[in-house]
Amino acid sequence: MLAFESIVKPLLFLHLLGAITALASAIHLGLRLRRARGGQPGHYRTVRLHATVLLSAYAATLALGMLIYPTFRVRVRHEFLDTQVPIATALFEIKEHAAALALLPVIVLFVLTRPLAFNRPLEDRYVPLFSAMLTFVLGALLFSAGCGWWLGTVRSV
Amino acid sequence: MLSRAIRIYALCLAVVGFAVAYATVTVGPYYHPVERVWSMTKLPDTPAMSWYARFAWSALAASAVFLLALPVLNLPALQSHVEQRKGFATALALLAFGALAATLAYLAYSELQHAAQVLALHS
Repeated sequence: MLAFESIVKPLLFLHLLGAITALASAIHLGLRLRRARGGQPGHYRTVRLHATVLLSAYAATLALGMLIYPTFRVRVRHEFLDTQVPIATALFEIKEHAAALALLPVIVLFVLTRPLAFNRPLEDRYVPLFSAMLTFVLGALLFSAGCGWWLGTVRSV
Repeated sequence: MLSRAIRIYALCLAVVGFAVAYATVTVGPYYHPVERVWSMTKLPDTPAMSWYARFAWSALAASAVFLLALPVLNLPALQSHVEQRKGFATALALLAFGALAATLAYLAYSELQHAAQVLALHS
């Protein structure tokens, strides 16, 4: 028996829920900031909320993925994908790299939004940094979600 | 007392440190899920996982860069750039995004190239 193999299906379900929450909060984060900067500063409060949800959901999804990985590595990748569908192995690895690289940008977004309030908008000089980090995070999340869904249709844990 | 700008810029440099370490560090320890053991070298004829170590080393590198960047960015010679110039923030944003994108592109190319080699062997 591999580590966490007996509970891997509930873990995978929670991983899916975490990924959906992270993706939704990242999209909302961008939309709310746009509204807040467009003359509706009341949205800064929800910008902070979405950044907190994003960090929590992302960290939880990453941690759950780490627990699922040994079972996936042996039962799915080693026993099937590596020999039958090597392109799926490559896409899975790219998804893992993207997920790891997006963790620090999520933390940057969280730190940038901490002091925001109705009367404390995001300073202009931080807008390019916010946009760059959110672009990378959204790209990584969308790619990971698409890959994760496709891999699930090929073979799952 | 370190300003908010210094902490944010140090975090940007930590992002760069993480990306560079993630692209370059490929040492162990490796986790062997079948045997449920860790070792500094890959055991023969069994799956080995290097992702955990790669992630941990990269996180360590990012922490080191962050802690080193704080006093450097706080130097009097840099403080005027850090606190006042918008271009400094934009440059760091581009640097961080560039490091992340370049690392991901490099790793994606390596993975796809490996998959193509496996496919060529099988066909």
